[in-house]
Amino acid sequence: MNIPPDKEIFVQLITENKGIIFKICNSYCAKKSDRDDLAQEIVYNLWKSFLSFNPGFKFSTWMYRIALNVAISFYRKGRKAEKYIPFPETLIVLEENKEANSEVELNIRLLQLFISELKEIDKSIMLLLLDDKGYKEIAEIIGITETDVATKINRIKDKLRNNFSNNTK
Amino acid sequence: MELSEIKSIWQAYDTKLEKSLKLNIHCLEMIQTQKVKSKLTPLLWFRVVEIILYIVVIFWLTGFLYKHFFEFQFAVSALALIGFFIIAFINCLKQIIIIKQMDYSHDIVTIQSSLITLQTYIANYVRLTFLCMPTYLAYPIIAFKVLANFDIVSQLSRNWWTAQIIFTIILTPMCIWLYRQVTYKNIHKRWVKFILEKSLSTSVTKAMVFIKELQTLKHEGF
Repeated sequence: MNIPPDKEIFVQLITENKGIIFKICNSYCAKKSDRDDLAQEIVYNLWKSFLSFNPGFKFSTWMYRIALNVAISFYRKGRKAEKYIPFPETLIVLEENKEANSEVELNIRLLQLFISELKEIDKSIMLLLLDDKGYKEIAEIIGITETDVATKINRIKDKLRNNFSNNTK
Repeated sequence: MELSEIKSIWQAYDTKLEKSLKLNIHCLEMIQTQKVKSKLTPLLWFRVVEIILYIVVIFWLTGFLYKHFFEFQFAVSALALIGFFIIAFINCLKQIIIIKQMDYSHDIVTIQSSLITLQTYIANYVRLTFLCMPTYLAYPIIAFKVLANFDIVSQLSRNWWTAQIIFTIILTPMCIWLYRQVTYKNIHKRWVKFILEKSLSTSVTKAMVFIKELQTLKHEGF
């Protein structure tokens, strides 16, 4: 018989790692409504798979795998996914920060834009790299070799560097 | 701009999110109370019912073949249909295996490749429909025999059969051509894209982009 997953632990883990969901949604969806739907779908799939989570592993690695798989599948559908929640509530809300430094804000927006323009797998690799995941961990999450990860990262870095320099000209 | 600078922008983004992100706990709890059911479950059940039907039909046709083994028209018709139903059975079985093995906590390349393979098998049904078109005569031949014990091959005129045979000979290469054309490799052709998109109800073009991305990863020889 399956033991129901612990809701409190799940809520706590999601709260601690909500930034991962937000960043993935922002990178894979341009529209706010799509981002809301994707966030719900990611959490739904995380909850569904929570029983299979081995506490011996890092939660963020497991979470990234599921969230990126859901995001890529969602992105590929090219249309809005089914709604799981029958009311229009936003799962993760970004509150306006009035003290924001305009130059930093601009750079963040540019980086988000450049990441969103990358290919499906490149986007995932970049998100993992920027979240300080090592090549080995990225290779495990994506399912490619460390050498492939290194080569991909070099190409993505060149692309981002070019994008930034073209933008500052 | 160097990676360290890009990372510092990302850290600034992280700091901003840390301060400003709020999780809607009510919404999170609502998601947890949803019935935990895979979106692929309806497809899995559909395929299970389908595979049972294929087994029944294949056994029944084998019995028919055994009974009429020395009557050429019935034996050939039954063999043709058994052949197609076996191909459909294998296709269906492969889909069930993929769905059963699907687990989003596996690595991205494996899961996304499995999803695309599943789409390919679903598309194979459309291709099989084209391929089995020339055997359309097998259905009335067997149906009349079983339902009315009537042998339409010997009862209908020679001219009618000659016309049917000529039509089948013309139809066969066309159907083989269609079978070969309707694949993901030819997605750039508008009519192929139209047929596949109508049969799959998902964006095959994006799936193709992903397949290309995977192929690049596998064949670039890093």
